[in-house]
Amino acid sequence: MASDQIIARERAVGPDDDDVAATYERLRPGLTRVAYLLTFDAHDAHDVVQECFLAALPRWNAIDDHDAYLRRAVTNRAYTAIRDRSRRLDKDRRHHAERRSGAGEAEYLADAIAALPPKERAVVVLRYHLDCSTAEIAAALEMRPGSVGPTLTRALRRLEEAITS
Amino acid sequence: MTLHPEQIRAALDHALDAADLDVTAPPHLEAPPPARVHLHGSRPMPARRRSLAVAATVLVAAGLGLGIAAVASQPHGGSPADRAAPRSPGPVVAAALDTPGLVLLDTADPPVTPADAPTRIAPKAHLRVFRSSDGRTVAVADRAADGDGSLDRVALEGQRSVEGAEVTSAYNGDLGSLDVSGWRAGDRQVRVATRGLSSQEHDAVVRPFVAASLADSLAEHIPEGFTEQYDGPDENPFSLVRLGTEADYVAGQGDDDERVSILRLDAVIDAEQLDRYAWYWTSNRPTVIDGVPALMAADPSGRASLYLARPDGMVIISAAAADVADYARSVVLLDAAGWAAHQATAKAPGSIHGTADATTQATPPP
Repeated sequence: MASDQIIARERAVGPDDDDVAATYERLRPGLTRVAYLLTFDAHDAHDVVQECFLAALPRWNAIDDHDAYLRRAVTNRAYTAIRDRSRRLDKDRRHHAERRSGAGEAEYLADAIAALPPKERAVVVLRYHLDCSTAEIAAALEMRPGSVGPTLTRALRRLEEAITS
Repeated sequence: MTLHPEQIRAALDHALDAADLDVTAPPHLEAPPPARVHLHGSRPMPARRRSLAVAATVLVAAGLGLGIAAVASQPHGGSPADRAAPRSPGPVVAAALDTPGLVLLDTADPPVTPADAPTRIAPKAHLRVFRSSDGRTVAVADRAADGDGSLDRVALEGQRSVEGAEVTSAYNGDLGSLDVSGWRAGDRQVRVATRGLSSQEHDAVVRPFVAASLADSLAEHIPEGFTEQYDGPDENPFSLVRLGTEADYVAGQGDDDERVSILRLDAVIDAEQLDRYAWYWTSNRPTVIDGVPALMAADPSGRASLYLARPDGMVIISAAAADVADYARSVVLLDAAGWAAHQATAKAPGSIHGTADATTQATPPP
């Protein structure tokens, strides 16, 4: 879809072009980082963020808190994407997570995070990158609040095993 | 060894640094490129199937029955004589028959609503959507029964009485194991759509809703294992657009024995309304098929529906996720000549006729 069509669509439904552009410019870096940490794919991360903005345009004026809405949308969409292709990713990540000689702890731990199952990875990113509360994580990932703690515990155990193996 | 939060944050920062994400200079906001397209070879024609899925698909396409009597059906899908009557395909059906790889299984029954059936305004439906952590979905819409018999007319599997309520139900395998039940409980009409549940599980989920409706406590019930995702007006675009609907339907079978269905509606729906339509899918994303705005909606079953928003109507194609874009391109290419002719033959065999409307607006959950 061409950018003029996007603008035409915005105008048809009412959002102010400048407001959309300013919000996009302001939020895009942070949202892209979140999407990347969930997908570990730069291309997918950019796509997810753009898709979420596109999806938000028709209802732009009806959204009270664009920051919260888009953060949740990006998290949800990125998580859905990695969950849908989790088998392929898991295989890839296991390969990458093999300890590489000379790799630093942060580098290896990053690979180990990328190798986590989708839900565990998402919980780790939301907790430690976005400092989300348990309730916020549960809402973003559509899981029960009581499941967040055990999921995070499992993830940390995997990471500990990875760096001590 | 115990990991400290600082170690994890350092690892995440390291991942971001290593990724070298280009986020300093925002590119223009633009949609992703069109979906991949390829065509398949044909397969032998299998046995003709009954049209339960036809009516169910129309039910879904016409609003999942969420408070809208969109498509009427003769009880139990018409008489055996009606079913056996030969039908000549309408232009869209004929075009679909030319789609490479698509073997015709079924076309719509003859018109199922009396031509003089009055258009009406359906009472506003209240919609609640629940989702489980593994992606299963339950959507419940209730509204006041308007007494016009619309619920009864959608009689896909016949009627039965459960806990004092009349129920008609449908099982639709075309749209990824979607079950839709319509219930009349007291002075309320309740429609329940579930995805990812077996028919037995669907029944188990539905009954408490009907009981709650009878007890006037429907708003308080949440199915076990699900969390509420949405609670508000039904915002299905079929609630936003007044439809004098004429619809063409064709079902076929492509490679891998995957079922393919193509439904064309006269309804004109803006592209931005499409994503409101797909709330019950696990994921959806805007795309473009040969210049036509579309929404790709997929679910864990591997099925997908692609909603093409053409200025002269809407086409819903359901198929295996990997193939749906192929069929969409074929339809886009083939319908340019066929649809104009179709406008002049709206009552031709192969068409389904129905009406639906209501008006609500709301902001859906992301």
